[in-house]
Amino acid sequence: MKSPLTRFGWVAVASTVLVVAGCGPSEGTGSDGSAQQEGDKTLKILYWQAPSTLNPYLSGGTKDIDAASLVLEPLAQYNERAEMLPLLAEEIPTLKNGGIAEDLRSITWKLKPGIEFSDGTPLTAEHVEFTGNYCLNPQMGCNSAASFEHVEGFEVGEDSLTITVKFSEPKGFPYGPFVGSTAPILNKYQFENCTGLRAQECSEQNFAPIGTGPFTVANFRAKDVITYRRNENFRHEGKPFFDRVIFKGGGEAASAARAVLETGEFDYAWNLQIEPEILAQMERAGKGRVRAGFGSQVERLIVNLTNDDPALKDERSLYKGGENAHPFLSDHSVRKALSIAIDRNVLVEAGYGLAGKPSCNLIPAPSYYASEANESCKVQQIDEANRILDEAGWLMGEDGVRVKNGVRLSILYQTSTNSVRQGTQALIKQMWQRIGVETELRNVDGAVFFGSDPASPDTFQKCFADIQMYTNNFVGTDPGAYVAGWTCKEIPGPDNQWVGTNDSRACDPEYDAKVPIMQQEANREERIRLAKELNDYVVQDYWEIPLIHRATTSAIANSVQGPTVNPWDAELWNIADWIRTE
Amino acid sequence: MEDSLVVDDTNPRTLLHSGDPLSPWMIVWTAFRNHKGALVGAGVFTVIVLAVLVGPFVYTVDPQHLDITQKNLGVSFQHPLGTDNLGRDMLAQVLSGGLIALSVGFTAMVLSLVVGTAIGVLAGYFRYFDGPLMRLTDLFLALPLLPLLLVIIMLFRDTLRAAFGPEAGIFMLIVFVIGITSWMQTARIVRGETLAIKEREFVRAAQSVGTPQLSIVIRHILPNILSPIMVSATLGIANAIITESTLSFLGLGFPPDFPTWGRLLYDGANFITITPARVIWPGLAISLTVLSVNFMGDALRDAIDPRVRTQ
Amino acid sequence: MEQFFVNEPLNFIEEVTGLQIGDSSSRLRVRSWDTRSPVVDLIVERLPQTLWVVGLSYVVGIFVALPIGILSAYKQYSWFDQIGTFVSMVGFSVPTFFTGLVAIIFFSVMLSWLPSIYDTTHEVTGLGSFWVQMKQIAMPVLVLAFYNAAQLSRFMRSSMLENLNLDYVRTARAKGLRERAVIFLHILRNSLIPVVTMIALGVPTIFSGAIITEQIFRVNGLGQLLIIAIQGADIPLVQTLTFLFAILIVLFNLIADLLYAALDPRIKFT
Repeated sequence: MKSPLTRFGWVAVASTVLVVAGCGPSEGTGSDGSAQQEGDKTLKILYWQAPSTLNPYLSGGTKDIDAASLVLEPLAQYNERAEMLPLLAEEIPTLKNGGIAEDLRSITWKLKPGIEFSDGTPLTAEHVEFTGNYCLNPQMGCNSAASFEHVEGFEVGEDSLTITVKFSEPKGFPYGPFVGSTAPILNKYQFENCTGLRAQECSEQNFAPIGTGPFTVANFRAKDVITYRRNENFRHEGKPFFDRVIFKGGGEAASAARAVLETGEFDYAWNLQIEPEILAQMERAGKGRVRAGFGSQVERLIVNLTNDDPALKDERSLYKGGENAHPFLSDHSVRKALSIAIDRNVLVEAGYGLAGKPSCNLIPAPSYYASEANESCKVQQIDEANRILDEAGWLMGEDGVRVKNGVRLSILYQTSTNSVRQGTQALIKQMWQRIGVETELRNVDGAVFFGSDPASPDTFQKCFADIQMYTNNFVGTDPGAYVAGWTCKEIPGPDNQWVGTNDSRACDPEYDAKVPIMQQEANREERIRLAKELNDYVVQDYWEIPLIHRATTSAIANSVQGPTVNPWDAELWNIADWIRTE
Repeated sequence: MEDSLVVDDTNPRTLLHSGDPLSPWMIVWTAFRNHKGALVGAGVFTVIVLAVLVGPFVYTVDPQHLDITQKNLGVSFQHPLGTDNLGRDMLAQVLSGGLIALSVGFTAMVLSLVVGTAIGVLAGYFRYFDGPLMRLTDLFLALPLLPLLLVIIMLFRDTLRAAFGPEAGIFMLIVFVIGITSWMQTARIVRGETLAIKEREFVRAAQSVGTPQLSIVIRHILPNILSPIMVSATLGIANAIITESTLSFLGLGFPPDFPTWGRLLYDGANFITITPARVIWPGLAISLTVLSVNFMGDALRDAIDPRVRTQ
Repeated sequence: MEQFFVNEPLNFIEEVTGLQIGDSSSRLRVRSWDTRSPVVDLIVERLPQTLWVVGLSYVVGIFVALPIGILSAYKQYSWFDQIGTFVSMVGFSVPTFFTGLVAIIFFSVMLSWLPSIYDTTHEVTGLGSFWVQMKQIAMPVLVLAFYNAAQLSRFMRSSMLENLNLDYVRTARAKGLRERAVIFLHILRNSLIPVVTMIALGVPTIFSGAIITEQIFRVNGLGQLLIIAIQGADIPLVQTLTFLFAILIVLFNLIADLLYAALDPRIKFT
């Protein structure tokens, strides 16, 4: 550390030189040598959403989970090819190596010995156990609860390095707890007094968790910027290659892309859902590259099967058994016509480019899970759609909108505010016009739409629209928890504070019965077959209409090597290996 | 230096002295006609209004027609202003967007002026009202606009949509929201001016001869505070157009397939380096409208201002 | 009520000055629902950048607007006036999200002179870092000042025009006062009355920030905090912020009224 005076002297000289030079050169050339060096050792990451906490158990937001992944590590993680790799664990437990019990009711992890937290405390199974109980505590409102579903308890081995997770029922895929960036290991000593109801109040701990990862938190400004320092205790000698990471949040996607690709101020920008021509144009500036990774993200239309008429007031979009059905979307032929009238290739061309592919499935990846039964949707079939509607008795009215028994095919179609989505909306509106369907478009700010505030009428869970559009995906590589999202008990409503993933409000006991069968199946082939069956069930009954298999798109500065856009885990999963070359 | 203060001969006063029996509105019109900026402004404004009103009948391309094969085109015979990234014709969009932008701008401006002036005059002229009305103004100033907008729109959107249809409903809502949140500055300024003018001799004189309060306000106060009102009006139009684009930016404005100038500018902003026409035309349209209204306002003020006239 | 009037101000003072007042650890704190941290901390963290950027742009705006307004009124319909009117109208009629973008493309992308992203962690420790700070606030200040100046100069101009032809001006000239004295002592003083109101009333908006400009340049100040709080339905945060703004508005209203009386002897407060 230089004394303030010398530092002052230095910069005074430097800036005098600058003033004499007469113009304002860019930062890099203007600074003295040591600052140049410092720039090499600092990695600047830009997320256009700003993290609000670094405790992934308290937030479901990707921004928070990704920011925390620099500090906190799970036992195992996924790489960009959807393969599971041991991180803090010695190896991945399987049936073959005895890690998973024959009855599928427990899984035993062995920790690598000698790992220390950044404050020097050794990592033991007690920390793992503490983390599990921390999340299982019903009072804390754990956001990663899905990873810990059916967990009954934990057992620490005598060597303090093994931990057994016990399940209440057979688990076909027991890799939920402590796998992936949503369920990393916390430091027991740090969070001991922060369990249950107190969890929310420990801002000091939540803003600077002590972890085993490559970096430690130096400064956290909620909703703004995080500064990380190198973890001197990191288990790999020489890694990470950066001394400092700056994680800035806020703004919107296009300017984030510009800061990496055109001005070169930042090294990495996340989730760039921007029109392909803009990205291509920015990439041509030569300062960075755009990379896409296809995970399980599917942009889809959610078909509201309940009546969303505002006149219903409290019963709007409320599922009440078979009553309160949607006046026309409850008709299977209407839903089918809407789906096949869409030209998905045009949507890709206009809004996604290389970052999207037409999709007819809600589980599009990993590739072995993708069903082949629905491929026909990739071709637009206007005539067929018109024929179906005619046959079902929806006859073309004088104003070009189909009517049946006084019900007009007039749709309110909402999504979040994002220029790509508004483009898609406009295109689909025109396609539906050709089959005699009238569409009113609405867009809601993303922070509100995805904000899950039970008091707001504009959240996607409320679904106060006929059709809504957004992207959904599943965490990790296994769709076991994801398929449960379309069961009856997941329908959002006042009883569950409008929390639930079944926005289309479909309820089919036959489907519900198939879900646990798939979840308890451990045989890989059979599991895949069941997953496809469930996917086809939803897709062919048009509860949700898949549109586009989306990639995660990120921009990376040319001088940085190492980032692989990983759609299966935290994007910054391998940040310890990132290095600046040139 | 001194020369510039000599009033030039286009001033209506010279006409008045010539003894013609002109009605007050004729004087206003003559003064207006003699104002070069005003004429240019009025000309440009007429062109814009005509283009917006008649344009869609002459240029019959559907502004909402998408053709992905025709995207991001430059200027051509088929698309005089090019197309956007979904292949929509820009000229048709600018024309149809103008109608909405202008109607929103004017209606909201009039609403906010009427409310602002009424409250400002009442508060400034009648001491009795001053306290409560100014506290009301403070209350509105203190209310942060955005939450207010969010709440109003959330509460009334569906009711209005059901009553008047999606487009008319949202139009009324937006006009109301902009009008109701932008009158406070006008009210404060008008009150300040009224306070000052109330103490003037001619008002005192009118009061002493027993002129009814209402006619004092209408005949003596209002004409004297017209100039700040005019400035507020011109700024109000621009403000309304921009607020409307900000609402779109926040996802609260018109539906996304309903082009307005503000929205076109916002949507086109990211394409500035690919198809600059997408920002130039809507931007130019907004600026020209505001500019021409401003020039007309200037001239109108000079023409109406009684101090100039009665000298 | 006690929370807002007693506890939170004390928390605020403590955060700003670093002093301990009374039993601060057991005092109740309003916590944000989103970040779960005390609201006051969030506000104090963001105050500097808002003051730097929005405050400075306001000051710059005033210093640019007043001379332009005065001169274009004094030389009404001259070239200077016409150009001034045109520029200020463009400044007013083009939204800041657009001017901001143009500025970024020009100064950051094409010339690479200025950073397009504001570094909130930057600390001014000497001349060099002050220079960096100046560079990073240059664009947001420019964009906002352009907008503010456009508005203010219109008011200044119209207010000057009001007074230029009044009797007292003629009297002053007739007395043989120098032109300079007439302009500055008589006309300017009287025409400043409404303008000063405008300026005083606008001061609270400095604190509420400029939401769009803050978002474009990622200044992450109070305006951005308010908008994310509203969108995220973070009610404690919205309440505290609006309460803060309300106090500021009341305060500056009072100041505006007092200035009125000070500048215009005809106005009497009884």
